[in-house]
Amino acid sequence: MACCAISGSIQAQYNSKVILLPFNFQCLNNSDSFCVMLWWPLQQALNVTGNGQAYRWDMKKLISWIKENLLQERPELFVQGDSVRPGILVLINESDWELLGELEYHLEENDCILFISTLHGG
Amino acid sequence: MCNVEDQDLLPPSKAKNASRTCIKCKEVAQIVLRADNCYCRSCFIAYFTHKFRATIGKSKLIRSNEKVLLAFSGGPRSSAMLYLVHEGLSENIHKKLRFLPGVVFIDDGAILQLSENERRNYLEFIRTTVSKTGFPLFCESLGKIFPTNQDTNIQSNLLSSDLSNTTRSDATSSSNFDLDTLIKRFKNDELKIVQVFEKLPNSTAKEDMLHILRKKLIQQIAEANGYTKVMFADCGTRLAVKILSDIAQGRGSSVAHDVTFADERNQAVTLVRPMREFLTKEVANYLTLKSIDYRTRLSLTTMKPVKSSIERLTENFVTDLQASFPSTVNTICRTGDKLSVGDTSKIDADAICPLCDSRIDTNNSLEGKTTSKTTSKICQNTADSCCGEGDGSCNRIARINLTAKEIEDRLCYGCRLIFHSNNWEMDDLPQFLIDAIEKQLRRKRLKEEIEEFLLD
Repeated sequence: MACCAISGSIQAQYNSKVILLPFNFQCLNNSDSFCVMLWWPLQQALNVTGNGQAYRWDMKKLISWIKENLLQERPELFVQGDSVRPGILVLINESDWELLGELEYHLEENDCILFISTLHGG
Repeated sequence: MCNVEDQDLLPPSKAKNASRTCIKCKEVAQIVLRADNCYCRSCFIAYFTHKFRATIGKSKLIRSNEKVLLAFSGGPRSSAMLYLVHEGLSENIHKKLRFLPGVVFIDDGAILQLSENERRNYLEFIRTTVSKTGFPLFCESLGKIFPTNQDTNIQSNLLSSDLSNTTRSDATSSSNFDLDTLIKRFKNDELKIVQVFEKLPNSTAKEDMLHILRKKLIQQIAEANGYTKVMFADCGTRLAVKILSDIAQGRGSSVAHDVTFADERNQAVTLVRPMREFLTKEVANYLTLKSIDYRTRLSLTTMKPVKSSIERLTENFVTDLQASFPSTVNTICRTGDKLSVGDTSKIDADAICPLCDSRIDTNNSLEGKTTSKTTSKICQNTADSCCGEGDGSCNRIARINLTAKEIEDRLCYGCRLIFHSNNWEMDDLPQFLIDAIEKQLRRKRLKEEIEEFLLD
């Protein structure tokens, strides 16, 4: 029943296949897929240097980034604490993220990450 | 002996997940069902398909060549069900499904306040998805439950909206036109229902009403087209939520019907739930692995706070609990299974709620609470709903003049709550409800008339 509004403009800006957010068909006009695709911010993120040292994003960072940058309304419907709400399934390259270390998983280039809401109403 | 050690009650700690292996074939696992139940891709798909067919087969309810209608909304669960049925029919295997499916889609876009464009896209999606399976598709708007004067015959309308005919004659331009006329017709039907929903006091009542009306309309469509079974894609997680929210809404008497595999309250059409053994997580995994296209259905409480309706709050409760205790859903469902329906044939037709078809278990204890309310309503409503002639000449109420009290008395407790504190008029009630109540009242009067002639 939770639903995350994601602005339509985002999909126009970023168009490659790194993260898929299948939440809300309202936010996407071409409803052939529910994908909001991000590429640029991750590409940048993967090469960010903090304290002169390169580091890669982990899922925790990604979720907080999504919370701050993509969710416009009611982030509590997506995020709970550092992680996603119960009822949202996270798949990394079609594998359950529980198998890959959940929040500690470090993103690789071209990873396909799906957040699937299993709640009624999206 | 009664000592329960504390650690037994604590949620299982998050397992340290080195690459775990499938419990069946020892390949690298991809899917985690619960703590240590990991599956690889192919074992999971085999498990999922088997469970679906086993649920249908075990019940021994569906005979070969029986006409079965699939309630399809385009959402994840019903998309998975449609796919599984399609796959089960086309494969040449020993557990082949042998019934004749049709698909029904009820458009509730008017109540969810979708724009015309969104609705057209959605219908287009429904049509393309169903046409891939080759099953006949019935599309109807929820507004149909309030028939307008010209078209009381539901059957003739359904035939015209049988979209599969238009899809078979391909030609995209003409099919676009058809969607437009369909939407126009839907809009015409929906004027009434939108008004009625606006009058309902809160989103709990709205959700409840939406479920009831959708189910009714699907049953009507099934009956009109000779289908004897309807498959609903309710999965275990949904059923667990339904059990708890039903109880919270005073629908305890219908819980048993709402969770069994086959709901036989309606004699003509049986509702079956072949997906009831699945969790939403399993369904989502299956859809992804099979790359089945589906739409995230909006609901009345999408983007609303958690406490916006009882159903929503219950869902939140169940999913939160499920995260730490993976057997929550199963436990609730098994508990629900233990409730028995009892012998439905013995129930007096008068003791059945005409709105939700469940047995009325309320008695006088409740009436004290509602009497004062209804008496004041009688005066108000009889004036509102009839011209005063009392002979039905105003055509608002055919044959018998029903009073608000008579109607309320016929409903079960849960259904009364829908109309609670709400200034509704006779006009706002769906025709099937008025018809059913009239029938019950006529029977009752007849019974009273002949009572003294009856032998004990």
